Amino acid sequence: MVVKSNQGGIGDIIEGIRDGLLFIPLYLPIALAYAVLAKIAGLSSLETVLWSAAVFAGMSQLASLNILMLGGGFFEVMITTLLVNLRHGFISLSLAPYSRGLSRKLLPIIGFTIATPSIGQIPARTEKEGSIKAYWLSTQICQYTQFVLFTLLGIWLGRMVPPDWKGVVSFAAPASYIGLTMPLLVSKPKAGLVVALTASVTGLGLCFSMNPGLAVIIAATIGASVGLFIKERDNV
Amino acid sequence: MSNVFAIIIGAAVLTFLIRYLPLSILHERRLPMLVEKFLSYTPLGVLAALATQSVFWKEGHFYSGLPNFYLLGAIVSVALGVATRKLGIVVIGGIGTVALATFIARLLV
Repeated sequence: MVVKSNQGGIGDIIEGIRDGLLFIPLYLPIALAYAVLAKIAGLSSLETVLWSAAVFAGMSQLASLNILMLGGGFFEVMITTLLVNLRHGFISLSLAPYSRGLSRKLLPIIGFTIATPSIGQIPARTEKEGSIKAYWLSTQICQYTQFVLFTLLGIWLGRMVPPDWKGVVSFAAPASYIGLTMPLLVSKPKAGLVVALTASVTGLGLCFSMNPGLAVIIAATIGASVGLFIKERDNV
Repeated sequence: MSNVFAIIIGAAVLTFLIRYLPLSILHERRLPMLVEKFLSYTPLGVLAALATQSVFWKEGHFYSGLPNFYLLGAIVSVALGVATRKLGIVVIGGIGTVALATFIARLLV
């Protein structure tokens, strides 16, 4: 076993990139779908890739394109972006305790590249040995780079995935969310299960009355609150 | 669409602030134990809610249609996750299950 320093070595960077590459099935379909829809919406190639590079939030970009095509303007797109990306604020909030050892100068770049997998990756990583800094930066930058490159690929290739198989490839998203929950569940088995089940049911139920992105935030808040009442055996 | 650049810049600034501000404000500030514990549970809640939504919520409607291949894929993914705890295996196994189910269903139609 290689002994890892606190400052982070090449091993942590490689691990971060390797884990980042696991999300190719997550970013590829979103970026391709976005690039194809952007063309339909009438965006130029430059605008299409610039949006990915400046925002890095595929779901909000897709939703925004839908709004634009329905005739919405600046204000409507901002509201959509806010609602869909609000969960990133929530993820950022949840990750803040893990950022304590890091220099303040790194926060803008970490904040800019935060994506949904981070919320599973970073807490799971702190259960292991090694530098969180090198891992955090490398895995997020790796995912950001993928997203921009896949947008370019989508612009040029149009459709790589046949339309009737897009639903299959898109399962990458829920599958990766499930995979990411496992280390968290193992570290807190009882409360974790209660949190996950409560959030699942609430998050689905709330969809009937609100935007699904907002539903996720409220569901996670309710789930985590309920979890506070569950006592773990090995109280950590 | 001449205002696309304005929209992109607006969305970029907004998204950056959403992601950066909570991290920046809470950096180096110790939170009460209860809040820290709460925040240790929120990732699980977010991921579980997202996964459940993508299985049962399609295009703004509750997806009750059967067969639900995503549900099948989710069950296999959870089983693989419990058995291996390896993200790569969960993702590949899950997609493989949905692909296989879709393939078989198309053969039968």
